[in-house]
Amino acid sequence: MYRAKKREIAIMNVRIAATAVAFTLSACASTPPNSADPGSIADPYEGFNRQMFAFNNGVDKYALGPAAGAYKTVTPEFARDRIGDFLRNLRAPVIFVNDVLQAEPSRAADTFVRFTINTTVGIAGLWDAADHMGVEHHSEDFGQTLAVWGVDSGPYLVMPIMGPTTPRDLFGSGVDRAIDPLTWTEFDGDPDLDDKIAVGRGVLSALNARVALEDQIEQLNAQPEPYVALRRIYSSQRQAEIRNGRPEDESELYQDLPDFDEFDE
Amino acid sequence: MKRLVTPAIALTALAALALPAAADAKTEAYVQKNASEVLASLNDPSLNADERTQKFNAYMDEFTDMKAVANFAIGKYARRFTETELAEYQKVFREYALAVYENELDAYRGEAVVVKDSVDRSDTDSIVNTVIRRDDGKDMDVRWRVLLRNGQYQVVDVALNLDGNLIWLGIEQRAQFLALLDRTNGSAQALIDKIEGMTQKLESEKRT
Repeated sequence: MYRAKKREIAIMNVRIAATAVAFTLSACASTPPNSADPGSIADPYEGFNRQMFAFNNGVDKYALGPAAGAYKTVTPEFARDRIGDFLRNLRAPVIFVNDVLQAEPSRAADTFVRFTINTTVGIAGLWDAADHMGVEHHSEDFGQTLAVWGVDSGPYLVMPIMGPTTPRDLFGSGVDRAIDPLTWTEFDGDPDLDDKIAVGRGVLSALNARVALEDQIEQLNAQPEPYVALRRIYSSQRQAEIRNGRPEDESELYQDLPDFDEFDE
Repeated sequence: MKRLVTPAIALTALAALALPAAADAKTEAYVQKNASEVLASLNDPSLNADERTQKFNAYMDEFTDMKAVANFAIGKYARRFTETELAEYQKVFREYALAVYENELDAYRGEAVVVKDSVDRSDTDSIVNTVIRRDDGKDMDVRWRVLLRNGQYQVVDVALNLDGNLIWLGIEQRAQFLALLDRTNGSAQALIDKIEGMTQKLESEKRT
């Protein structure tokens, strides 16, 4: 009965995300990635997005930031690194599935090898032993898989707490949660344990990530227009991630660069 | 008649081909020499902070076309500002740009700039690919947009390659400045104030 309820919740998550996708995609024209300016993305909901951006800044300033500061003080860097490696290793199954779905056998093999080595030699993932052996980490998610399959990103959205995203990526994160085996694991003795673990995992991930992103967040807030800066970096970074960091064709890369003489004296 | 025309056409075609190649080698040499000089100027232990800034600024003024970069950063508004507003903005922008570059490039002081290759968009417009080696082993892929203006080479934009994401700093700056100006109805003063605030913050973070 409990298992059925868990499945219901997961399905509900996916349904909510799907509705969001349908709603937002229907409301605007398709937004193909702009190779001339990878930083540009359609933002028809800018008013809403700016409000969410301001809300997130508030949460960061008054809650997450201070909490991360305390976490950083209380937890030495060595421990934070171990926690970080451990949490990252837990994502390996989801990354593996997405590697396969994107038809990337070599990357899928890397992920598989990393997970095996880190869980065993790396002691339950606490050490990134695979990295020392030269097998580097890469991240994947279902949003990227959808992009590889040709699905349009949809308009730029800023979600409360979650931050910048798009309907495609939002839907993707719902699917990732459904793929994640930890979503479905149960403990016979204690039916609530898996929920507590999920919450703990979420909180630790957020704190660890916030500490790691400290400098970037400071830099972002020092920009003349932080909202625009974040939107642009999200858009261009996402496209680079989807390409798996592969360089674009150089002859095309510089084709649409702007002219500097246009506004000369 | 026909026999004379063909070699003439061939010669002009060859000359056109030769020009970009010459531009390639020259722009590469230009970036190699000057980028290294700029980084070296930040590494001179005999200079105190102010002297270092002065030397760095002098090199940067020669190396980059500050006015062109400033005008580019505000796009169409360059024509909408009054003459005094434009002059004030250019002055403030220059100070800001110098402060940004000094803070950012300081991390690479003393490092070698290695030119890899270059791409010519036209006779007067090239992009030079360089690598700046860092202490922690991570090499920075830095690309310089070099224009030939009035017989002089000058850098007008710099791009950093972050995990396959090529970010042109001038373009990013322009996107934000235009957003700010659109939001404030083209107010030059709002932009000038904003830039001055950012410069002050940067100067307080400068290495002493």
